[in-house]
Amino acid sequence: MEKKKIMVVDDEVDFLKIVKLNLEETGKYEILALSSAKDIISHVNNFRPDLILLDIVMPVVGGIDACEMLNKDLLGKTIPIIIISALDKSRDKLKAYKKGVVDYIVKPIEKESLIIKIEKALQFK
Amino acid sequence: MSVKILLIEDNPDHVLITKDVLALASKDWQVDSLGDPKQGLKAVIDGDYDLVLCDYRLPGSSALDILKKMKEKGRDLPFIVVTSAGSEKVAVDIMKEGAYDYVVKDETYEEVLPLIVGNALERHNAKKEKERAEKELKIAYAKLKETQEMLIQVEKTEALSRMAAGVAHEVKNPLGIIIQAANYLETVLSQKDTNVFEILGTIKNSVKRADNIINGLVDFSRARELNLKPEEINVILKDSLVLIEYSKNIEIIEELSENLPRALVDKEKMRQVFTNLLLNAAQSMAKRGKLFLRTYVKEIDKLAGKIEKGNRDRFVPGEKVMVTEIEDTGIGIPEEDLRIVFDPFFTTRGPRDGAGLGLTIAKNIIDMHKGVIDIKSRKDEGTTVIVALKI
Ligand SMILES: Nc1ncnc2c1ncn2[C@@H]1O[C@H](COP(=O)(O)OP(=O)(O)O)[C@@H](O)[C@H]1O
Ligand SMILES: [Mg+2]
Repeated sequence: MEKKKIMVVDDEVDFLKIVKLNLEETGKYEILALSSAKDIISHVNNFRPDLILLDIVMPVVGGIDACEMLNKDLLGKTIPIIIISALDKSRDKLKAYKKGVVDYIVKPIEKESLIIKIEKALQFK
Repeated sequence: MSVKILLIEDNPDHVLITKDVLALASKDWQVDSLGDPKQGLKAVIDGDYDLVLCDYRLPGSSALDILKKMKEKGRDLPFIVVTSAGSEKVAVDIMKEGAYDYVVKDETYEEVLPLIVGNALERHNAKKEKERAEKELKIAYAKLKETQEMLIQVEKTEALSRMAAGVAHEVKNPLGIIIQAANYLETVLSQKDTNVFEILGTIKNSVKRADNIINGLVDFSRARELNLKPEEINVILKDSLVLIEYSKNIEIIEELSENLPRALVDKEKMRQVFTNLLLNAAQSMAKRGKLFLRTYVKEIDKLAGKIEKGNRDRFVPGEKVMVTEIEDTGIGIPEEDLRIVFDPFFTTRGPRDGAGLGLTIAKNIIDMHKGVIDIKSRKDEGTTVIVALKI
């Protein structure tokens, strides 16, 4: 079975590193980890992910801005997005869902639960 | 506008002269006269005079006595002393005691008296006006101060809730890393070393504990503003019941009064209260038990066995209140814990199950509604939580 491609965008490099390790360890995913959403469109078009895991609070380009950029991109708008953020307010969640994200995860989350959410989101494609 | 003047004078000739002079000077001046200093003093204190004209030398007394006693009683009237010619020195002493002015009984009397009376009345009015303005200023200032304090309070709670949300974000990020790291180690470390797995379990539990506390803190800081609407308590209670997971062996017995009046409450916040209380009840009956839900309206005085005196006193005697009771047949609360179950972070549960904020939040919300919450409990027998709300 071909590996699913997941792009993880988070400015916390430690988080990035460990989530990448955890997801790759399952043998089911190929991961591209980005510590900034600045060049997200060109990365999406090169890597062509099946799913994007996106943080919200990031310097320069935040997660919500990144969603807007993706929604304007021909390929970008077809890729399901899961927000994975430490923000827990319903207002933040609402903002993200309005941009069309398929799920919103609040940190901390265990690997197992994360994988369940990823598998569910992959069915959106 | 008529001005009432009291003349205290024992010499009838002088009374006549003075009355004539004043009547000629202004139609508005009404003069009453008393010759007896005792009666005079009584009229000064209890009467509704606007000005006192007092002869210096009186039988068995003096203007000085009357002036002093008037001041003692806290009466503030323009007080003018009439002296005989040649005793100006005495008049000066009287001025020191707080008289408005003095007038000498000589050939200038007719001419000077009206001027002095008019002047004293004017000064007195100006003084009253100034006092009134000062009082108004003080009231305005107090109001301003009160509003300012209210604004500061609102600002503070908003700042607190902003800070709690900010702190939550900053703490949840590292917690996210720790738990994923623990997950990674679980998969790669040798399965043989059971210590490692126990320690990883501890790490994960600690993360959940910290996360619980942070979430509770955010809830707590948010639980400030109320969105009050007339609501049906039974509906809110039933909604909350749906949100709780129960063991199959808990029997739920609903004794909800029909046709209850609506209570003015914040639905979301009350749901939060009931959810916390129902969750506590469910957690106290891990295996089996009965959960009674009751709602009714009753006079506060008739709830003596259920609500503490101090709490009952927060209502008017005879006031009808809306009561919700949640009773369980669970493990109960030991006597020594009953006083502190509402304290923040007090919990007897394992770190994953409770942050010890459930009852704190519940009490906070009920307080905000100007209601009361009380707990009756016996160890090993069960617990009843009583919430009384205004209707
Ligand atoms: N219905 C109940 N039965 C027994 N104990 C209770 C009940 N409700 C509350 N308690 C006690 O009060 C403590 C504090 O409750 P709470 O503030 O809701 O925090 P938490 O449930 O997180 O511990 C609980 O840990 C428990 O010891
Ligand atoms: Mg609780």
